[in-house]
Amino acid sequence: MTGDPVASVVVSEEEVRRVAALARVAIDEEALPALAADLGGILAHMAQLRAFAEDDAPSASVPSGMPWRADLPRDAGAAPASASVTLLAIAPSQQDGFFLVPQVVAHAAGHEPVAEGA
Amino acid sequence: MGEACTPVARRSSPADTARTVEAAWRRFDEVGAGAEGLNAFLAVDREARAPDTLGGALHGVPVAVKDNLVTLGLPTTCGSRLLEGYVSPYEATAVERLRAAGAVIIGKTNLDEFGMGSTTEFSAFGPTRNPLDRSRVPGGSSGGSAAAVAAGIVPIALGSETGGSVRQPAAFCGVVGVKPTYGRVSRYGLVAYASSLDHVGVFGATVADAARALAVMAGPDPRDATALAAPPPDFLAAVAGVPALPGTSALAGLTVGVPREYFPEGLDARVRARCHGAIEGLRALGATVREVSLPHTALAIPAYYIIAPAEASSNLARFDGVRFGRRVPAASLRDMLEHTRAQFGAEVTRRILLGTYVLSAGYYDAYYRQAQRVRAAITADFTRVFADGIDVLFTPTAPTVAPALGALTDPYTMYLGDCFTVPANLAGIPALSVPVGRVEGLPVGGQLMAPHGADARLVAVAARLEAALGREAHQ
Repeated sequence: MTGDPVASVVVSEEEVRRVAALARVAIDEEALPALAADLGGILAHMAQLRAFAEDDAPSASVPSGMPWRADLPRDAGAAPASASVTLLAIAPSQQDGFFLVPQVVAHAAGHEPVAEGA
Repeated sequence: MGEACTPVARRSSPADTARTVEAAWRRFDEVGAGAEGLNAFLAVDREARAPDTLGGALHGVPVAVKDNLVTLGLPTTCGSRLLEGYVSPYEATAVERLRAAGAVIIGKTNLDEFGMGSTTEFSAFGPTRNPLDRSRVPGGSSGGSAAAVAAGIVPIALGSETGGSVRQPAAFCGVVGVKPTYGRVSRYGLVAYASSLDHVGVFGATVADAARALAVMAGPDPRDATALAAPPPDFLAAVAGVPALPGTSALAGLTVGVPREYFPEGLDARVRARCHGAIEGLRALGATVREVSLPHTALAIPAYYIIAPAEASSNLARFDGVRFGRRVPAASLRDMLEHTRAQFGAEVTRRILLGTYVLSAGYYDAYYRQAQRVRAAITADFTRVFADGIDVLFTPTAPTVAPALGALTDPYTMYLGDCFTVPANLAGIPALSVPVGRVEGLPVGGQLMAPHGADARLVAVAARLEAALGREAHQ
């Protein structure tokens, strides 16, 4: 896939081979067409996520993807700080609820790192 | 409490469930729960007995455990050939606490491999059949546990949820299924699928049965950093002395939200009708019912099926023939890893590849980061309606009744069946399925959802609704 990764959802057999190699899973050659079709079909549905625009982002204080860090509701009483919050407080560097650590894995030429500084 | 001698399909009420170990085995044999019949169990322990010490809250109660919770003395396969014959050297906290309360673990139940599936057809050891109609699936992935309770073998069974794997099979099998708040029950010893979404859940023949198990299992656990530090609510008090009779005011002062997005045009009309009947039941108990909106609901499935496979692709890396899993010998290390992992079944392979794909360079922002932002929006939807005076939400648990075995051939069609259960996992809020009636003999489940931490409220409302709907809802 090239360009906008969600605009096109045709997954080639070569891409399935590449992903299978990353995942360390041997795939039979004869299974490749069906897997490519399955993944392409599933990812086509995922294109719905494009409907979610930047403006829709909630202003809630719950960190993205970590709803269990939300305060307990009105009938649950005050909870002590979780272990993860305590650990984050003493981390040398943190961002958005994650530890920031030095990058230790180099990426192949032509591929961008997953997250800057992650 | 009876000896449960009636055929499964004509079991008249939850009270017919076997409640002693001896009765459980009689029931097991009567209904043919083994591999040639329901195929609900992957391993059994016919020697298991109640502890000599009396006084445990669940003393002598037969309990079944989903086979992705590790147990001492019984194999833990996760429904996978990779783990065939594996016996854990330690026990899951939830199981340990049940045993300490006197429960008798009679066996491990069938599941979709590593919890990935909605029908229990993706078990490497064959599908489980729905006790109410053996041509149909019991739901999944905790289908074996749901079937064991529905067949009247045990009053309590453990399951696990990542996107609805307790509530959906509970709905399809006509039993109660509870997913507590994320972290309410320790995940220590639950084989991880998607750690930010995984929960230990419980099936009960009744709401009170499920509450009895939660009362024993819930609470902090130093071995699980995500376990809630707050003490658990009093589950037994929540179901004690349920006075509910239709027409009473057992739920006076309670405001029930009915989200319009959970009643779409395409919803099975019979499911809709049974759910509306339950809503009328809530009104009859004195509750105020209000329509509400959870506008990002439609995005829950695509977000979930990016986040869950992404986490799975990382969690299942440990099944490589070195750390865990039956090794397939090969000439090189690389070949050994790849051929060992080729033992994964079709659905697990699909999700590992999907997860690896959406996390790979160039696609992370478009898929994974966007899915996490949608997850936050879905959580904010719930936060808003609960802050706006809604005490609990009521919805259908699943859009249809149990489908026939083999009916769901397209992966995404199967995924869509989780559309009403996935949002609670994304938000980490407690949710529960309770039987609300039947359609041509097949059960329909109604789902209640409550704010984060309000597990006791959820159970209390469900117990009163269950009592008001009466035996008919279980028949």
